[in-house]
Amino acid sequence: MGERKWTKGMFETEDWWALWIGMFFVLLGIAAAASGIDLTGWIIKFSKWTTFSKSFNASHKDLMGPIAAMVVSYVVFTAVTSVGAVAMKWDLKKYLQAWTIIYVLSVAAYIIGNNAYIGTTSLDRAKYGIDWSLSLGGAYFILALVIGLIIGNLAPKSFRDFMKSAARPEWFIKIAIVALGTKLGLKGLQAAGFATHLLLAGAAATIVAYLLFWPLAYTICRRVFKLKREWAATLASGISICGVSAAIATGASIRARPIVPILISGIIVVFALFELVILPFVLVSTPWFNEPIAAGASLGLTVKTDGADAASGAILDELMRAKAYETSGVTWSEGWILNAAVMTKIWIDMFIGVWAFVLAYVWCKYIDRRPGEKVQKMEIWWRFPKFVIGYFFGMLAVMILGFGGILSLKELEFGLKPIEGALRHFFFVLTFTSIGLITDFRELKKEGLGKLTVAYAVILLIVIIPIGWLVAWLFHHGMVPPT
Amino acid sequence: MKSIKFELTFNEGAWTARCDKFASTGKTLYELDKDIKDNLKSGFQRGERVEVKMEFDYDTFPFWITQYQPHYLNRVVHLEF
Repeated sequence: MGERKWTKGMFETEDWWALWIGMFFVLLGIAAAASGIDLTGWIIKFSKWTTFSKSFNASHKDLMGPIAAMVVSYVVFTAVTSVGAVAMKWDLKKYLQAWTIIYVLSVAAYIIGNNAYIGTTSLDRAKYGIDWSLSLGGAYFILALVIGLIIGNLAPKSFRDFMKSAARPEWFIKIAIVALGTKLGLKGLQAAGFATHLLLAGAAATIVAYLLFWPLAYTICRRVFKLKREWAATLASGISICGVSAAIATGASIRARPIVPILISGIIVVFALFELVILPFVLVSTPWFNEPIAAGASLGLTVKTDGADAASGAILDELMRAKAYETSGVTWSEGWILNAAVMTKIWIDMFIGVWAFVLAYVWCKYIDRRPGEKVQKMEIWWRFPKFVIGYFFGMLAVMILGFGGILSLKELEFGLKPIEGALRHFFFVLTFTSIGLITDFRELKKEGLGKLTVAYAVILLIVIIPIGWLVAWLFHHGMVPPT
Repeated sequence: MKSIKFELTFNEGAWTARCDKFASTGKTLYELDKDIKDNLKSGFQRGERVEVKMEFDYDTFPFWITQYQPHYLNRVVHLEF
């Protein structure tokens, strides 16, 4: 065990590998844009279909046929994630087997959920030659989640544990979010003012949320539920900041016994699933529909874990755009509502290192004093979510190349649309399947979790969601996605 | 100041810090630090200081959690004899 350097974990942790893999694809897209060589058109793209043969194809159909694209995509995605798995010293054989099952299940969910009778809106039916449809935009996400949940809760334990060796929703979503950064860059080239407003509003909302959520959550834990400090502080962070990540960082800051963040993390993951399934449908069917960007941002403030937040943002984006199209014929540009959800979450994630440092300092100096203990400032960097670097790199690289006149929008879209579109969507589906696989409702039955679960539910319903909605509205009201 | 590195774990209600030469335990971190100091005493003069670095063995966390944070706990404690 050597000196803990700033490079610690650079090739051994999922966070860094999300950055490396995401950046690999982003740079591939930029290289394609710059050279005109189709380096990304092989990426498998799934489309709405009535004829099965049209359900998937290469992103650039001229490059190769659908079966070739499916094979090449599987090979490339398996290869890059396996490099990460080997570097992180996972059991490669187990990973490859479980990954392949997750991949196949995700493909199946994507194809079935994309059937035109399921996802098409009333205004699109003529395009597919059908006279009825369920108008369930994003159904493939829910289907992937349900498939994962069935296995994660009903399969034999040995199989559930086996599948967890490749069910890494946080890893998959972070790769997808790095790709999403280029989407915001491309959107920013067409609506720079809107993109900037979204960026700044997200930052402001996050600061307000941090200052309000944590003190209220902690006070309720201590005064109402009489939780001991280590449980109260860890739960308060988990529910008011960034979920499991914050629970672990806070547990470490206050030197809690490991069982504290581990048990609380189990509760967080289950509740994040409930929020992901319920909140988008609540938002789209209430007056929140008239504030789509604020609704998206509210998810970033209220849904914990990056995976669940991005997943709920993706569902909301689909639902709101479909409803806007059906009710008023307006075509909102895809991805803005999702970006609002992701942007606020990213700002929250970025500050966790600072929060962990401040909490560690206060705890060690004033609350649980231990003579001689030092708090390391490097915790701020070690806790900083590295995938965020990739997100902003993608966004800024595209905007610099575009606004700088180095590459045209058409060239950038040629190289990057398969990355920010097809690849990002598929990694989202992988995330949904994986969230289902790791969410075990039995966690809530564990001994001692009753009071914690009730505390979590109460704080979520009376503090986090109402205040999150208010703060999101304050900083984002009036913002509507460009058409 | 001399620096000594320990691997930290928590098991059955007690913290344990292990280095090449010995293992110290304590129900609380305060007790752990005291035990480490007692174990190191013989190798240091009065008034000398040592930096004790402890890194928690994250492999003891459930695998599904490790994707959310890259590590658990690092401690740096300065002990004076």
